This record gives sequence, C-alpha cells and structure tokens, in this order.
Amino acid sequence: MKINVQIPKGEQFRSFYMFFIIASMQLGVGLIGIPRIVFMEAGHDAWISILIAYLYIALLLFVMLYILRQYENADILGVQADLFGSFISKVLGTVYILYFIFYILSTLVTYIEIIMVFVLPDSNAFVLGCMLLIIAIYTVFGGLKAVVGVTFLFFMFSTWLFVLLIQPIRQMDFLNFLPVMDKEIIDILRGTIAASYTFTGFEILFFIYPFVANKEKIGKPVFLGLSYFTFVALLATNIAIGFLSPAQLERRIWAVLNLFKIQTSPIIERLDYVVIAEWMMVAMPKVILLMWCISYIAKRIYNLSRETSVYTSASILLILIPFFNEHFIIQRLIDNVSRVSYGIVYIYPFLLLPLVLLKKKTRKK
Amino acid sequence: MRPVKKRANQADLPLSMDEFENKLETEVLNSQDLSFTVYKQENKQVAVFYIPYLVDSTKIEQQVLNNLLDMQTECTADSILSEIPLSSGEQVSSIRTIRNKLTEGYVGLYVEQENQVIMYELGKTEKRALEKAETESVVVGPLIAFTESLESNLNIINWRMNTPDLAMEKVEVGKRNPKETRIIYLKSVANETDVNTMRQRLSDLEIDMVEDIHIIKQYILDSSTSIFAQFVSSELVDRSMYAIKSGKIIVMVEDSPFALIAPSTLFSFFESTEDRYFHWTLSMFVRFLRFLAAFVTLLLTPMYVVATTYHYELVPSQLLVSLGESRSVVPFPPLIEVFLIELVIELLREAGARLPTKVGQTIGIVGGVVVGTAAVQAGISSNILIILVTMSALASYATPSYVMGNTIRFVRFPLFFLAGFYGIIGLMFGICLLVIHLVRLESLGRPYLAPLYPLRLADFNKAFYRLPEQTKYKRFLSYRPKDKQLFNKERAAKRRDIDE
Amino acid sequence: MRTAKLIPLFILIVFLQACLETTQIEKLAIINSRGVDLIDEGGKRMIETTLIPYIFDPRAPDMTSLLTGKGRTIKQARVEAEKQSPYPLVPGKINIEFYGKEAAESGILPFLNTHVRDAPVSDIMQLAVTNQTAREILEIEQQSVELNRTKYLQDLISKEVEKGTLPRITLQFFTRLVQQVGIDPILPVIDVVNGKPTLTGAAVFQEDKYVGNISVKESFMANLLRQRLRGTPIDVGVPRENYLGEIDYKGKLTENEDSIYLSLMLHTGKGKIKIVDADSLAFKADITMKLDLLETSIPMNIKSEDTSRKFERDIEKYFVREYENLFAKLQEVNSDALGLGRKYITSRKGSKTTNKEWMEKYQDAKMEFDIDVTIVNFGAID
Repeated sequence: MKINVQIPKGEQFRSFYMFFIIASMQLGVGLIGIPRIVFMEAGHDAWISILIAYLYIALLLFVMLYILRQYENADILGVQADLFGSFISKVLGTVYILYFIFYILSTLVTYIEIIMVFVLPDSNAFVLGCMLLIIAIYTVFGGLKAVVGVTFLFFMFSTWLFVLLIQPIRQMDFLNFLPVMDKEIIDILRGTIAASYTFTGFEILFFIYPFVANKEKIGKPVFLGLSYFTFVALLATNIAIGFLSPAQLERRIWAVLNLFKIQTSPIIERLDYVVIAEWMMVAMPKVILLMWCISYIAKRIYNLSRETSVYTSASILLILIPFFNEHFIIQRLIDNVSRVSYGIVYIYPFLLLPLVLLKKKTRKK
Repeated sequence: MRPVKKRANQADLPLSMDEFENKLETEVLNSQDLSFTVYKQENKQVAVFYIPYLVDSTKIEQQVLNNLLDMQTECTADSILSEIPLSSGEQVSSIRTIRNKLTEGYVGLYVEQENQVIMYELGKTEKRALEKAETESVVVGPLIAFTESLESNLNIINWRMNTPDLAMEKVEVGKRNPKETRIIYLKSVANETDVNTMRQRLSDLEIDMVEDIHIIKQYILDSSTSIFAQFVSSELVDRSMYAIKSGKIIVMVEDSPFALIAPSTLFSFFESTEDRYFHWTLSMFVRFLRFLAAFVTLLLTPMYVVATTYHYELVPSQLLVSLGESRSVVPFPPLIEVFLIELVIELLREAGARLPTKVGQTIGIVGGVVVGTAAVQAGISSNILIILVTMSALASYATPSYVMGNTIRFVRFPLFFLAGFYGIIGLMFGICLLVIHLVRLESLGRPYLAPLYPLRLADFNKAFYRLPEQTKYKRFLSYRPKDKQLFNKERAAKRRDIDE
Repeated sequence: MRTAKLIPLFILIVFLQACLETTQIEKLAIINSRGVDLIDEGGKRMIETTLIPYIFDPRAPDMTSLLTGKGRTIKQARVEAEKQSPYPLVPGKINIEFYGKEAAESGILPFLNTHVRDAPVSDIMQLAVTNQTAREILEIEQQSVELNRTKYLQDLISKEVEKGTLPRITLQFFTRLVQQVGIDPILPVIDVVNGKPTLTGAAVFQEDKYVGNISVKESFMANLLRQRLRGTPIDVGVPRENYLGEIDYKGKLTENEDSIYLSLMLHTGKGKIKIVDADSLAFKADITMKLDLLETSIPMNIKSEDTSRKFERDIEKYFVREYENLFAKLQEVNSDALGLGRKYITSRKGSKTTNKEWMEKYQDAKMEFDIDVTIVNFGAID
C-alpha cells in the first residue's frame, strides 16, 4: 500500500469547503438530543461541558493535522502503513470501515425513529432506510466533487432553520442558568463525555486530507467548522435549558424538536413537521461523507471497486435497519458506537503522535 | 482577364452538345428538373443550363443571357468569362463537379467542343426577413431574432459586434448531408478549454444530418438522462451577444434560427436580457420573483398533497374549515385529485400551443375558467386546489426560458407523487434527489450550479441579484474567462467630492 | 447508466408504501376544543371528556358537533367519545382545553400527560379553567355563540394574553411552570355569565392544582413581575380629597364617591423581584410603570407638574396596596404565582431545594413592593 496518494487535480477541492465538511459531519441527528444528554449529567452548566469538549477537540484536531503534515500527501491509512506495515494497516482500515458502518447505522436509525415518532407513525423503517440510502448512493456515485457539493448545499439550505428559534429564544427564562457552576466539576466533565457522540465526525479529516488542494490553508476552515458546530450545540443546549424547565428537559428525548414546536407561520401552522423533514438535509451529509469514506478505504486497502463497496455497505445497512426498531435497542447501539468512538476518535490520534514523531527522528538519522 | 481557379483536367470534356446534354441528364438525378437551353451565338452553340428552382431567374436574364447575346467577340470559354464579369465565375471540367455545382444553385454555360464549362453562382435561397423573437418575448431592448439562414445570422452578429476579436470557427457537422456549423466566441475572453471541448464535441459527431441546432444540442449534452437543459438556446440576438461578451461560446448551425449558448448554469435560464436594461432594483425584484415562482411551481401542489393526505396539522386553523369542507365532496384521494387537475392544465397548455394563436388564447381562458369552475361544482376538485394549481401554472410561465419552465413543471409530477406516497418525508426525499442531481450536472464540463457551487460570491452579482452596472467590473468568473476584468473598478469609482 | 440501476429501488418504495396509512383531512374528526371534568358515578371517580371536533360532512348543516365520553383514563374517555363520531378523532388541532372546577382542583398534569407524549399535539394549545364544568362551557359555546364558534373562546383568551393581562397560557408554558421549582402557573377562568362565556378572572395554581381565584387586574400585576409589558389598560382609583383644586366640573358631584377613577394605558412596564435577605426570606419587588392617562371619572384640569406628581404618588400607593393584598392572598392559598422561589433557588448554590421544601419556607416569606410610576402622556388636553 502506498503511503502517499496521488490525487488528480480535477478531484481536489479547495480547503474552504473543509469548513462545511467538518461542520456537517458533526451536525446531524445527534444535535437534536444533545441538550438533554448533557443536561442529565451537567445540569444547567451544560454549556461549560460543551466548551470543554470544544477545547479538547480543538487540541485533537491540531494533533491530527500535525500527524498528517509529517507526510507529503498521506491519509491515515498511509500513516498507519508507514508506522505499522501494510498488514496491520489493513486491519485498522477494516476497523474503520466497521466503525463507519455502525456510525451510519446509528445515524439512520435515530433519524428514522424521529420520523416515526413525530411525522409518520405507520411508516416502514425499511422503506425510509431505502430512501435515505438512495440519497447517499446517488451522491457518492457522483464522485467526491458531488459529495462535497451536496454537503455544502445541504448545509446552506438547512441553515435557515435557526430563524425558527426566535420564538423560543424570546420565551427563554434566564433564571434557569443560575446559579452558575451548580454542579461538581466531575459532573461537568461527565457531561463533556456524554456530548462526545454528538461531537464525533471530525475524524473524516484523516481520510479527506489528501484531497484538499491548498493544504497550507486547511487549519482555519477546520477549526472554524468545529467552532461553528460548537456554537450551534451551545445555542441549542442553552435555548433548551432556558426554554424548558429542568423537569421537562429531563424527559424530552429530542429537546431541540420541542423548541421548534411552538413556532408557527401563517401559511404552515406547524413548522416542526417541516423541521423534521428539513433535518434530512442536516443528517444526510454525514451519511454521504461516511459512505464515501467507506468506499474510499475499501478501494485503498482491498482495491474493491467503488460501486461494489457502496452497494455492499448499503445492503448491509438496509438489512440491519429493520432490526433496530425499538427505542432502547437504538439507545444501546448509540451507546456502543459512542464507546467505540472514544477509542478510535478521541484517544487513538494521541497514541499515534509519539510514534509519528519517533519515526520522523529515525528517518532523519 | 480575371484570374480564375483552374480545375484538374479530366477526360469528360470536350463533347458535342447532344452528348453533353445526355451525359448531364444521366448524371443529374432529377433530370426532368434541368433546364437546358441552347443559344446560337455567331456560329457556335452555347448551352445554358441550370435547375430552375435553385437559381434566381431574373439574375440569369440580366447578368448572363443579356451579356451573352450582346457578345461581339467569338464565343469561347475564356471570352465568356471576361464578358460576363461575375466574381463567382469558375471553369469546371468534370461532369461530377458540374452536377454538384448545379445542385448548389450554379448556372452552367457550355460552348460546344470546349473542354471547360463555365459556372456562375446565381443561387437563390428562400429566407424570411428579420423578425421579432417569438418564443422569448421581451418588452424592452432589441427584439431582433435570428433567422434560418446562417449567412444572415453571421451578418447580424458581425454587424452587432464588429471586432477583430470575434472568432467564427467553421465546423462541418453531419456525415451524409454536412451542414455548416459555427462556433462563435471572443478570442481574448472565452476560455480556451471550453472552446476546445466544444470543437471536439462537434467534430466528433457522427450523425446523418442536422435538422436543427436542438439535434446537435442533444448529441453534445453532458448528461443525456437529465431533464434539465444544459445549454441555453436562444433566438434572441441580444442574448447571444451578451453571452459572447461575457465569455461564453455560442454555436449556430445552418437552417436553425437558434443559437446554442454554452456553458450555461441553472441560473442563466432565469435571466432575461431585459434585466440589464431596467433599473437594477427593478430587475433585482423581478429576478427574485422568478426564483420564487420556480419554488412555488415546484412546491405548492406537493404541499397540498402532503397537508391533505397525511399532515392535517400543517394547515392553518383558519383554513382548515374551508379546506375540509371543499375536500369533503371530492370522492378521490388528494393525489388523484391533484393529478387530474394538473393534467387538465397541461392539456390546456399543450392544446393552446398547438392551435393557431387566436383560437389558442380562447382555449386557454375558456378552458381554464370553465373546467375549473365545473370541476369544483361537480365535486371533482376542491376550490383551494384550483387556486393552487392555477398559481403554480402561472408561476411556471414566469420563467423566461420556455424549456426551463417546462422542466420545472415536469419535475413537479414526481414530487407530488412522492408527497402522496410518503408525505412530507417523501417530498423532502424528492427535493434532496433534485439537489443532488443538479450538483452532479455539468454544462460543457463546467458545474451547472455555479456560482452557488463551487461558491464564487463575486458572481452572485450576476447570477442571483443585480447591483448597479458600475459594481459589475468583473466577468462571470465561474467560467474562468481569459480576461477577467470588465473595467477598472478604481478608476470608475473615482468621484468628485461635493463642491470640488 | 448508474441512475438506471436505482430504478428498481424506486419501484420497491412505491410498492412498499402500501403499508402507509393515509389520514385524509376530510376523513378525520379533528378535535378543536376539549373539556375535561371529573364526575361522580356510582361512587367512582370518572373522567368525562367533552370534545368539539370538525366533522366535514357536506350534507350536515353544522361542521362542529359535541361529543362526550366517560372513562377511567382520558384515553378511555376519548375512545368512548369516538363511538359517536363517523371518523377517528385526532388531537393535532386542539386549540383550547377546559378544565372543570373539580378536575382542576384535583390537578391537571395527569390530563396533560397524553398531550405531552403525543407528538402531533400542538404545544401552543391554550388552557383554561372554569368554575362550572367544562361540559357546560362547551355546550353553551355550541348553542349561544353564533359567529365562528370554535374560534370565539380562543380569541377571547388570546386577546387578553396579547394585552398582557394574562401570562402565557400555552400547554408548553404551563407544563414548564408546573414542574419548575419555585413558581406556579396562572390560567384564565372562563365562566358562563348571562348565557355567554366570559372571562371572569384568573386561577392560581399550586403546582398543577387549582387553589384560588384572582381578578384579571391581579393577574396583570403578577404577569408584570414575570415579563416586560406594554399596551395594557389599567384602572386606578385615587382619593378625591387630594385633588379638590383640580376638579374641572361645575355640575353637582355624586356625594358618596370619595375616589377619582383613572383609566390608564401601560406605556411600558417591568418588574423585578430581588432578594433582600435570603435567610430571613425577605424579598423586594422593583416595579416601574410608564403610563398614559386616558380618562378620569371626573373631568380634571391637570395644570402643573405637581398634579402629575401627585397622581403618580397616589397611583404608586394604590398599586403597593394592591400588590400587598395579592401577595397575602397568594400566601394564604399557598401558591407562589409571583415566582419568589425561583429567585431564592437561584441564589442558593449547590442546594437542591425541592418544591416541598420551598413551599414550607414560602409561608414565612416577606415581600416589599417598590413601585415607580411616571405618567408620560395626558392626551391632547392638559
């Protein structure tokens, strides 16, 4: 396996789009639940937990970029191949594929569950899964250009949803945030850990890095993307805390959707339905990008054709989706995926860093 | 004597007059069409032959026959050439070439026992005069439209844009019946890659013949499965001129009054030449209106299906009563109801377009009013739906491009079927697919959604809104024109201070 | 080509959609108003629910009809009521919900539970209490109000909310306050007066239990402590003997009237509760009101700034008295509608004060009112 990858100029994209890729990977269905998840641990100091998560991830992204910059044009697979050899790299690549498949699965089933609870109670999870996967497959077959474009446009087309938060903001009760630092530090850190599932997604950087045309400028959009998501998460959490009473927030699984429920318009009275449908544009870029990643890794380590890997992973997902039809099974899936993500996403890059540095030193000698 | 082109001598000639006539008649396919007259001049026989409907007979009389009969010198090929001083005079010696020339509208003169035939081009092509554009109607600005004659089209272009920079490359398209096709662009502005791509695509074409530019268009599309038109085709000279000026390429073919403008973006279909002539606030307003109209066309009836089939919660409480009341008499599910009414509208549109203008208008109005009212009274449709369908049909005609208007109306059908099948989620699924499709689409290798994706904020001034012309000092950058600057911003922005 | 491969999947979707049940708008009985009562039936406590749904029958003269059902749970009662309806009853458009006196006194949270859980139910549904039974109100509404009857009550209440005399009364806001420690909700009371539904006052709650009645003006005063208000009409009485010099009325005055009544409009007003001393539970409310004078019960000649100041002082005194009465009333029924507890809890870091603990303390709370009134406008005459 080659360490550095050659990307033709036509397939590269400008670093500017990294902002949307990172932000879109982190946005998604997780955002809907984040207020409650963090609130359960950190109480109304949830915003501190989120800020701590932000700082940690900013450091992590710095490390990830540092590792990638040691090579000419490598992705994580190349780095692993350089450090551990081809075989172990393949094993690790497979781990990534599996992780991504389950990550997609957790995203899809959560979104499907939301649709079934809020909009279409009689709908069929399999059909909904089919529709969502068609969107992903259709985009991935358009190549990375289309993947990036769809990510970008979906991001743009769904940003207007924030406008609908005006009404809940006006009804916020700021007394809900007092007293500050009500909880222990340990609770706040626990809140940070709870938020981590929602924050994952930036690991895409490890795979998409070689495709960026002007790499020297990649830092700014990546950090801005993370900051954007943090801002959104803070916004959602704080509005939820201010708008809902603690007892309400503890019981609402999808607190963010509750915020949209009081907004009306003269033409469409219940905008929460529109929001849930529109959320497809928030949730899908993640699935699309991960699907692209899977096909990219499969091509790189097994030399599988893009079509084969996409169709295979889509079929696997489609078969799995109907089995995750109960709320608690879905919760267990999410818990497990986030547990794996602690290792793969939050700790692994820090383990990699000394090895890369060591390798660099020996190479110099 | 004028220098004339000499052709390679072949053994076809000389012949006696009868032999020549026979030979010509066997060669020329529609021999009964050939007019072959023999004149006696001095002691020589001179044959004048042509195909009557291809030549201008008054010209023959005035310029050929008069001169020929007045000739004082002895009649030979050379003397005829010098006595009848028409610039197109040629000496031809092969029967086959003569045949070809005849079908192109030449007149032949043959002096007995000579080994040359003299041919003059006195063809006449039927063409119509320059007229107003029919399919793209504008209120303000030049109205002149292209015609079927490439010659006069090139003439107009040259007249409108008289610069040595203008390139009009010639490409022959069609195997059996090659037709002259021109690629027209500004050398110093148009992107070379685009020109090369276009040239390549045109010369790679292997088709029998081209009836119209739209045939070529369909062959050189980037994606033939896409319903979205990837090139703007316009009969408005003004529009083509603007395209050339902004660095695009236009393609014209003989016999077609349309120019193909490439590359094009989705947003260029919402442009009208008038936008540039109006005050910018007005044209900005109109531009937004058109985008709004497109959204309305796409989403109005599908939203009706969504609200009445699955999500009654969406309907405002005030409207719920009247909607429910009028729906309650309709025996069909909303999807069928919408489909029926949409079908009626489409039929009216198609019938109106096919019938002569005056009858067509009547059909449109009478049909719309009568069918709509009757449908509501008969309980086939709810009155709210009639309003919605009418609104969305109206909105679809606000798109300046007829093709794009049709496309948008067509795309609505799958959308409301999806809405009928899966409610608001189905509708959203359809919209997502539409967005993805548009992202994947290219026009002449350039992204179709430019400048939205790839994002180029500088181009928004042209594609979405229109600030005053003074702010548009750059060309449409998404197409990477060679010459980016339209004028110097600094110099243009320099102003005098008050009372200076 | 790749697109062509997706076509079978499309067809699959179309076929599988057969499982999706449509809910066509005309084939639903869309509930518009709901009433909940507790009744005694053979010694058993039963829930009776009264529903007004839209039933879209082109032949029926009336689109709305009144359905009632009884049951042990609210769901059961609805199923019972559904037996009288040709179409399934759906709750997505309930705009207003009434609670009879008994039902409200027993606590309304159990009745709301199903609403909160059910996603299609609108969060901006309005809640109201009646001192009669909800059924009576809805029946009266059905019989007496001629014009657009289903919207009548809704507009009656939302008008008051817009003016600021009533706090927000949406389902979302009510459930938020019910479960919030240290603040209790207020809902409007609608009774039948002279055969017409009329807003007679406001109900104060202790958590979700209806415990006492306050007037509309008192509800405004409580609301002023919660949010910034504007455009609310206010009536104030000031002692007449202070203004003998300014009275501009030559005719004979009614003898036994010793107050002058002022009709005012709240220009802007806001109030804030502060803690003076957390341990002794001393609170203080700072309220500022900017008012426009619209009308006086006796024509007056407001010549100088002094008169204006005098008015302001008297209005302040009036409101202090009213606020003290209100506070005493609320303490008596043990309802913290003003939200003192919220202030108290936010000042106690790390303590997990429960509602019960606070309610014990609430009885000992003392409150001072500091009101600052400015009259900004006197109309076109002075």
